[in-house]
Amino acid sequence: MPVNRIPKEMEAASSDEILMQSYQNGDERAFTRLFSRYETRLYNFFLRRLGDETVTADLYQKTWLNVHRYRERYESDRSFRVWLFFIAHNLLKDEWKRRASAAEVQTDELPEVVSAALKSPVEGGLEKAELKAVVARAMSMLPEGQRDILFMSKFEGLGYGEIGEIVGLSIGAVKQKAHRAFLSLKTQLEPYMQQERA
Amino acid sequence: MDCESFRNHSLEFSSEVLTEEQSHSIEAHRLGCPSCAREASDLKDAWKSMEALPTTATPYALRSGTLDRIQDLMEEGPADAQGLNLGQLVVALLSGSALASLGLLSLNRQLDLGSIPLSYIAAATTWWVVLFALVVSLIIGRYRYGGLRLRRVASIGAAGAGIILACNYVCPQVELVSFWRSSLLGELITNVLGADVSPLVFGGLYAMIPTLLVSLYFGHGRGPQWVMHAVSASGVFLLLMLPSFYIQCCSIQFTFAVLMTVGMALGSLGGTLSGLGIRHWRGSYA
Repeated sequence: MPVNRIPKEMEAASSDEILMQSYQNGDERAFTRLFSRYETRLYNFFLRRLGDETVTADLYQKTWLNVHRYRERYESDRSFRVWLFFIAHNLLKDEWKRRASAAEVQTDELPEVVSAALKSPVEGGLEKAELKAVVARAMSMLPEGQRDILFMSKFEGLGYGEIGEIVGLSIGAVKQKAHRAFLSLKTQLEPYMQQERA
Repeated sequence: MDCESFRNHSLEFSSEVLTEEQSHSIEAHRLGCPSCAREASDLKDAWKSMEALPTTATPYALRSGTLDRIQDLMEEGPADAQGLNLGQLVVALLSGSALASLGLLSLNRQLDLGSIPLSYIAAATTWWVVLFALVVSLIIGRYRYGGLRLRRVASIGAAGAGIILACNYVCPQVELVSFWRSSLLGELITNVLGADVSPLVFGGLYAMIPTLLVSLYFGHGRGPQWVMHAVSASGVFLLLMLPSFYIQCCSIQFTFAVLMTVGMALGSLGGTLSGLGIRHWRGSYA
């Protein structure tokens, strides 16, 4: 297999798509660069949504293995980031289905990471800690689809168009969901804010 | 913009997803309305506090294990890439011939090949071509044997041998040893030890430096098998250097060749163990 390596001086500045093309041509170093760029985001993508380190580890590894397995199917005119999180999102959906069918989902239970955020100390005293707790709880109250969009926008750094590609919705639908999420969040935060104002 | 309209956009404003124009409009209202300014500030704090939801580092074992699995898959290659085609076979034979030529050129700089029977040189050359073609075919074919990444093992051996032969052409080991022997320090050490171990020492150094460097580059240092990788890579290196030792033993410098062979065996083992040990310790990938 021919290997078209990227010159070292160009490698640091290479876009994900160039690195992916190079990886398709057999350059292992290009894969390592992509892996380094996204490994933490991908790990937290699963951990924030599932709150289970074992399942997160499993899905994290499956995502990377799928990137390798289906690398030939990647088209360079598509954003690598979108493709990566598309794979991850599909695995996540399968996991939700599996949990739903196993009746493991307990909707009144907060995701572990959100719960952890409620407990974790915050610099700036009680007021800030309380604010953070309220926000974390408000986030956990959002419907899964809306929360997913907010997470993708906030933590995975994806635009609404990119999120639409991943979840299979139009950009308008994604924006609508995001807007609802904002309003829901605002509603959840309202009592706290009124209390603050009083 | 009025307060009602401000409230409809305040969350988007707090999460900084508005366009510049919208932000300016909201900012203008915020500056003139203390109540809305407070709400915006609260929401902004709230949204920003979401960023403090913990970002967890990927566990080392998971990261390393994932990279290992993918590296394994990459080295196995696609099913149709197993085995050699005619073109690859030609590449392997040409590489073997190139190394044999380099080896002969290198030896000719320190030995009088004319004094050695032609059949011995022909045997060594054939040996070199076949051995190196085999090693190159391992690199191209991406075969694996058990847990051994043959591609990497063969790469270390081949690159190490190639570097040594090239270095030996530029600076023949015999000349280096002669220079050392005639130096004051060399004489002193020989007198103290009661024996001349220069071929052993310089053979070791000549083998250790390139094998250390190529192990650092090509090596697979993670996992419990790194020692086996190091020993195997050192073995491949010595196998490729054997024709050189054979020709030197055929010349009058038998003791020199034996000492140098032992030195190179120890040096290559030390070099590969050190290189792969460093990679194992660092847990680096490439």
